[in-house]
This record gives sequence, structure tokens and C-alpha cells, in this order.
Amino acid sequence: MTNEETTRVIERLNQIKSGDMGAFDEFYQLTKYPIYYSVFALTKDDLVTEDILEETYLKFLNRLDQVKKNKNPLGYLLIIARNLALDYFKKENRVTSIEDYASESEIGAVVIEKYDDSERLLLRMQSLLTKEEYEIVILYVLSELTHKEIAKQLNKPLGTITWLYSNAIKKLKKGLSDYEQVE
Amino acid sequence: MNKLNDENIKDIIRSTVEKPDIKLTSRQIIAKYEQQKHSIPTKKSLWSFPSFKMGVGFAAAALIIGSLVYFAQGQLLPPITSDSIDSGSTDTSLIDREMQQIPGGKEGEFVFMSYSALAYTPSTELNMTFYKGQGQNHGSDSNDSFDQTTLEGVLDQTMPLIEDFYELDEGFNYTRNDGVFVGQFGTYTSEYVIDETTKIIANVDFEEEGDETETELEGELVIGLNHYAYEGKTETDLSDGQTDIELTIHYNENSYLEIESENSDRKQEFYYHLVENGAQVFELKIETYRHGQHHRQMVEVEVEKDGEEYQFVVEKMMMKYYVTYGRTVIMVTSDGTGKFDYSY
Repeated sequence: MTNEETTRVIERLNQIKSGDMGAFDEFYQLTKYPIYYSVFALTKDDLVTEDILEETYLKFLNRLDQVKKNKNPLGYLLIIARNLALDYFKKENRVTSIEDYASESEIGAVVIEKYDDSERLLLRMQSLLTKEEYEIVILYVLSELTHKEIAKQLNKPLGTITWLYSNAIKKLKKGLSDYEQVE
Repeated sequence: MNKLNDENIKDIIRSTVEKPDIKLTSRQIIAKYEQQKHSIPTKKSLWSFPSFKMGVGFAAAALIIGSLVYFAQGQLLPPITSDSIDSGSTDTSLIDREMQQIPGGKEGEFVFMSYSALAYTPSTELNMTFYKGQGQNHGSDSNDSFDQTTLEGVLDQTMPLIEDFYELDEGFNYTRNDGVFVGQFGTYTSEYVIDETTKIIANVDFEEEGDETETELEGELVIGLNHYAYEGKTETDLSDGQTDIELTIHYNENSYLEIESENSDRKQEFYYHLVENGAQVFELKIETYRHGQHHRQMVEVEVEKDGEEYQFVVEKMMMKYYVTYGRTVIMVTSDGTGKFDYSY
């Protein structure tokens, strides 16, 4: 997100907090993709991701009084979204294997020809990276968060994030070197 | 593509991964937000469910069987709302019960039981998913080496019931008329009209003794030109709040479906027995309960088919069903028309 976009997000937030819901559309357009990508990195399912996206904004609107004016709310939105996504896979008794199932749903290995380039690349990345590395790469490259923002979002030291990101890039350099030829 | 550097990697990802086509709009979010904010409880017609529309004939008729048995008890248990403006009609109204293990309370329970009968009805005009599946597959229930086709055959027969359970969470409408109504098998005093082609005609007998009440119902489901005989019974013990319901729908002389429910404080159990040409071909037990700190609705299913037993635990999350079968989790996606896709 550019500085200009961040400024617009904050302006729209202030309007929404003042009761001007007409500002919500632009607020949503400016923030939805980073949140979508962050959730998709966990769920790997577009339908589920949209459901969580909706729940995220509803929760955000219901907690508007807790959101500070003049501050970028993206981090707060991302935390809500991530918690909702994790809730979705929460382990409990007889459904414990759902989380494993979701995290290992690399179904592309079997039916990869069904997927377009976008999905194929994401599946390839998932197979090359750990869950954590994949999430960090998605947040950094697609959600366009800074390492510092990712550290805050994932509640990890900045050094850990940069180290994991660096590792991930090394793996991708190696793993994607034949990407075009193979695919 | 050799000698990749950091920027190359980022470029590959950014240029290859297309921006998702997010269907969710800001208007939808605002609308839902406003709805939640005002939290005005609104009744959603059962007819708004696509699967209900599809099977409206038998399903709607069967729907009323249970309702009739139950609501014939008058003020003792909560009745169904009818918004009919027919001057000769009797309006009934829904009152929430404290225990609502199935959404919609007792009404939902009857809706679920009756609606689920659709899956069994041997009418070619209706949804035959369940009925057609009988006897198609044979296999072991061993989870270590289960036959996927067999398992999916069982799930094909079970998931419509599960889906009904999760979807039927609101009320429905019908018109009740009193008078003399001639059917194919007898003459009856009550008529329940669901739509132009579907109705129930029945006689209702209500008895009360001490803390126990019993209602018996006998009549016909009329779907177009077809008549199906049915009978139903409800027993309620007011001292412990336990209600038992039995419905039997006769398809022909030797084929019928029995549905029973036991409803106690913490759980509800449903039993389905399908008898075809005098032999039980399918038996299913569903137990519903709330689970975990978020009180998630869980459905536990036991199925006996072709001499084999299967046990599942089902949970619906984010529009998908997750079926836990032993150590296997199967993600089930419904297309809303009674067909299901399975991912392992």
C-alpha cells in the first residue's frame, strides 16, 4: 500500500467513524486485497476466504469504537482476519484432522492440470515452503506489507520474519528456476 | 529461468498470481452490518431454500405430517404460524422453545424429519438421490482400506439429510382448512394445503392423561394425482419434557419409511428405517448436539447399509461440510441440488 493509499484509508476510516458509511466502499476497495491474500495464504480456498473476508469487515464495523482515529487500521483488520481464519481450522476433539487436512491440501499434485497459472504457481510455492514461509511471502509480496508489519501481524520478532523470508526466497530461487520449462 | 534474484521472484509472483475476483461487495457488507445492527428477527420462508423448491411436492406434504401430529396438541406445545388470509383457515403461531437443538426448535425438528422423507420417495418427478442409491455399492467400513466409491455411495444417501438439518432453520407457511375431505383411502376432517398440487388430508386424535399427551394422525399425502397413506404419533411427557415422534409414510403395500425422533434435554436423535418390498434396506441414526466453547452444531451419523456399518461426524463450516470418518476427513461441497462433491 502506497503512502497515498494509506492516507486515503485513514481519511475514509475517520469518515466511517463519524457515521458516514458512504466512505466504506472506498475503504473496502483499498483494503480488501491485502486481507484477502493473508487469509488465502492460510485457507487456500477462495470461497472460504470470501466468507472470512466478510466476517472480518463485519467484526471491524461492530468494533469501530475500539478503532483509533487517524491510524492505519490495516493491521487491526489483518489480525481479525487471521484470527477468524485460525478459528476456522481450530482443532477440537473429533475434528482435529481438519487443520492438517487444510494445511496439506496440495491437491494440485493429482489434478494440477485443472489449475490456471496463478493457482499452479501458488501450489508450487506451497510445496516448496513451510506454512510459515508461505504466509510471510504472500503477506510481503501480494499483501504488500512491510517486514515490520508482518512481524506485528504474526506476533514474531522482526529478525525472525526477515530470516524466514530470506530462507523462503532462497527456496523459491531454486524451486522456481525451472518453473516455466516444467509447467 | 535461471539466475533468479529477489526481485525476479517477486515479479514472477506478482505477474503470475492474478488479482482475485472478489465477489463480495461493500454493499453486501453494509447490508449485513445494518441487519446485524438492528438485529430484527425476520422469518425466512422455507421456500427460499433451493433444495426445498426443487422437491416441493412430496417434501412439503411430508412436512405437514409431522407438523400436524405435533401441533394438533394445541396449546401444550408451540404451534406453527400460518399467514394465510383464507377466512376458513385456522392460524397457528410459532413460539420459541428454550431448548433448540435443531434450529427452529420443535418446528425445525418436524421440518427436518418430514422434509428428509423427500430423499426416499419413489416418485420419478422428485429428487431421487437417496432412493436411487439403494444397493448400488458393497464394501468394507474399515477406515484403513475403505472403498472410496462405497463410502461416497453411503454419503450420497446421507448428506441430503445432513444438509436439510443445517438448512432448515426457519419457518414455513401453509393453510389449514376444516371440513369434509374425501381421499383415495377415506374421508378426513382436516386439510393442509401447501401449494396448488400438494396437500395433506387427515384425521387427528388427541388424548391427554396426567403428564402425558398423545396425538395420533392418519391421512393421505396428495401430490398431484398420487396419494400416499401416512400415519404419525407424538408422545410428550410434560414432567421431563421428553417428546417422542414417529412418522410412517407408505409408498406401497410393502415399502415404507419410518422416521422416529427422541428429544431430551441435551440432544436429539433421529432414526430412519427404509423398508423396500418387505426388507429393511437402509437404517440411519442421526444425533445432533452442541460441541466446544463455540457451541458448534455437530451431527453424528451411524448408517447401516447392505449389512455394513458406517459412522461419521459432520460439521459445517464456511459453506462446506467436513465429514470425519475414522482418521479421514472428507470435505463435502454441495451444489444445492442434492449433488455432492468429495475431496480427500
